[in-house]
Amino acid sequence: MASITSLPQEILVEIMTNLDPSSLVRCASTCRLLHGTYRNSSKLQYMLELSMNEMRDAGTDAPFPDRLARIRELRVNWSDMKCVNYKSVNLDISFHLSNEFVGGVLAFAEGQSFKAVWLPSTRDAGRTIKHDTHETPFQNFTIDPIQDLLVFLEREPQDAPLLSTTRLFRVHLRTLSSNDYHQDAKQPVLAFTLPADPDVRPVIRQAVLHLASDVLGLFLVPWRISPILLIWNWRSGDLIYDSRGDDLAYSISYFVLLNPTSFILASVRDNGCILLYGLSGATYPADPATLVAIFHLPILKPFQYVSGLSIHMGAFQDKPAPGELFYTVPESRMLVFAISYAGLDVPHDSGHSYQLFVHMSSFLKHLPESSVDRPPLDIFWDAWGEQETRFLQCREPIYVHGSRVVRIIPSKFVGRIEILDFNMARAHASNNPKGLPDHYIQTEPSYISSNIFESQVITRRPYRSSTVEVGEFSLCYLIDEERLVAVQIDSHNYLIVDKIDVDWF
Amino acid sequence: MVILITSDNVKYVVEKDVAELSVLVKNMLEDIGPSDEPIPLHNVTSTVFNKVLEYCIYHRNDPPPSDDDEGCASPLHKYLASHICSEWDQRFFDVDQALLFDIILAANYLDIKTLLDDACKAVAHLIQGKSTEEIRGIFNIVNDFTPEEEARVKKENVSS
Repeated sequence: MASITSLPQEILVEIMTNLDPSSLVRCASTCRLLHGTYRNSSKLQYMLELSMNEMRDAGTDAPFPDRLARIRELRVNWSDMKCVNYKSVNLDISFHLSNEFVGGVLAFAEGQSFKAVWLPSTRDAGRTIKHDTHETPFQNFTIDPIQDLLVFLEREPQDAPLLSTTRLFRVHLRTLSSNDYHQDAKQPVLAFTLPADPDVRPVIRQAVLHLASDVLGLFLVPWRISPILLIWNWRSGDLIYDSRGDDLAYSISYFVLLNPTSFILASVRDNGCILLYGLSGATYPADPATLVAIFHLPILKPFQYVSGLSIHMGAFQDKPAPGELFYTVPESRMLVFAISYAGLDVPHDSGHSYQLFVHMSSFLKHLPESSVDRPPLDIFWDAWGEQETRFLQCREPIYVHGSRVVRIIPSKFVGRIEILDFNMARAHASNNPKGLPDHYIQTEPSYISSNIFESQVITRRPYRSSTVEVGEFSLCYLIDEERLVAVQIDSHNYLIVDKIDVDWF
Repeated sequence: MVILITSDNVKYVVEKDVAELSVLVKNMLEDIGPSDEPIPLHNVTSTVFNKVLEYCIYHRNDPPPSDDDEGCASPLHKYLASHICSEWDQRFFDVDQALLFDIILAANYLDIKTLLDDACKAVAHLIQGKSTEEIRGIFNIVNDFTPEEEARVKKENVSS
């Protein structure tokens, strides 16, 4: 009579391939035979590594032992901060308007020129391209190399008719590699008008562009009128959401798309809050966005207020870049809210800058399966903050990729950076048992007692911290799955980006 | 029509398109050319072959399986896929374990990929979400680890 232990190895592997990661681990712990099946199968071990790293396989035809070796190597080298390769890319461009780092491509734009650098990696030597858009200067831009897409907001015209009460704006959808209009975009230029005070120019104070697959969001903070949020399906050119009908509150300070069907607005109102919206994807105005939940930040003492609130997170990537073996699942990203506080007796620059680290799942779990008509949930700080977040005092710039965050540690003498990894399965798997002080798992809560909060702010979300010395100071540090990138400025002219130093694991 | 004979000497007359769902039979038919010779299936008993045939007749018009799951989709994807079985398949695989394993061995021998995949999913479904002790209970697995080995395996699992 057949029993499970009488099945051939390859069939046992096939059975175990169908298990979720924790069931696979338990199954492999039942007896020597099944444990051996797991230990001898690079496919099963690779599946577990993928799940532990919150990654997805890219569907390449690389042999499983190679994929397994690479994903392990990446995890271990990140954990020890051991870069295996280094290359410096000379740039010599004037100080960037903004930079974007997505899918292994780092892009800068300034005025009418645009530069994109495909960074070197284990598979690729890298390359640089440059576009001059001539007639159309950049106000802001974003890229998605996987869709070969460059989106930019054209700077508002300086020569608008003197007494005109509206201004015309254009968003251009270009091919990243060639600068031609993107062939998948039905309308390569998305145009809209905003009301404008004839005396005020420029109209736009701040612009944020965000992409998630087919969905493109543009958030504008104009002078004197309330903020504007426009969301398109960039392929069809259809507007999915248009806030000009609802009038967003003046307190809205920032916007990110979580995925093609949900987005977040940050508001400095009250004690600061995070507004989660669901999008149906239907064309506006048939089914506008629904406010699903309001996440409140810690309660402040009287006369204290939030003076700034912005959001950092890695780009939405639901497909692998060419040649990639695996990539981080878009649902496992961290969001970092940079919050600054001020008050009647607290001057603006007195160091009340904090960063709040939240995993995307904290938001996604509140999105209803189907559109249900219910009032938005009010989720007060006491109900979510302590367990689901980490709140740290920090004013240094940060960069986020997946569940890793890199930040500069202020120091007078040596450049030091810290990598925080909020993926605890990965952190525990690779933690250095010797307990070196530069690498540790933080499971102790953070207590913040300050005269601006009504009560002590306690947060417990664990993370792993690795600190490394990086020599001379850089303008900013960026990370992705396999790289640590330092953007270096010219030591004589701070307006020039001299070169970028790329280390990869 | 194709004539197949199982290991316990039971004769089956099967339509060609059904029989050819088995790559083994298909290759044999190609090798021997047009002939009325019965094809012996040495490793399959009639009890098991009855089930295999039931499956093949029900799925005879399914599109051929693609190879793209070789690329190893995400475990979650796999997990979901293991639950998206038709009601008919669920009832089909609702048999005692010994027969289920015999179906797997027969599908492997006859080289019927979809049946093999579906049967493996059915076994995975029995394991899914169970504790180590429960899995041992379900399949009558004897814990043959030494205490030291067991401690090491447990430690490994914490870290992976």
